Amino acid sequence: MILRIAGVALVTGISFSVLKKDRPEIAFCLETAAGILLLTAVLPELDAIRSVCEGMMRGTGLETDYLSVMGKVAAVAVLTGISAVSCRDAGENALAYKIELAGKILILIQALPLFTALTELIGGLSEAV
Amino acid sequence: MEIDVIFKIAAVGVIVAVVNQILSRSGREEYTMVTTVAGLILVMMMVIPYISTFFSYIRSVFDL
Repeated sequence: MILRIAGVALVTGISFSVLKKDRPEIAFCLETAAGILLLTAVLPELDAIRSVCEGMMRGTGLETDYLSVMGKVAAVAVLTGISAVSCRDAGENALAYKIELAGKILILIQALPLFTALTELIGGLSEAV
Repeated sequence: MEIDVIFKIAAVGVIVAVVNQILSRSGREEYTMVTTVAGLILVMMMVIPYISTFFSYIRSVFDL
């Protein structure tokens, strides 16, 4: 698996350096496509990680909803990072900054249920005391 | 499956560069923009199915 990934990355690097001088826009499409292909090859392995994490969460007694929130936050962070770095490589620093800002806002929105649950927990503890 | 797409995109890029060189040498510089845009559309048509598969997979795995 890692051999395939390394091979694809090497071929992409060589083709990218060939195309970068004459047709930089096609070089950008090429490296975006290669990145997407590499991630699509690796994503099925995430299922095993997720099942192990679910087992651990069930063992500790916390709600498994929080695991899905953490998964969504991680997915938003990874996608934001990929698109922002791609834009920065293409010279679009302003666009990359706006993408990162949007990602931060979306992560906060995803984490809001956690904040409310935490404040309710603290309120319940203070009432008990 | 995966490396084929990369080779195709690289081949399209090289062909577009060569055609643009030929056009600019023979004096038809206004067609270079057209061929570049055509090459870009071709490359995007090759890439977009992969991107849509990737995004739908992420949506299904993470419930986004």
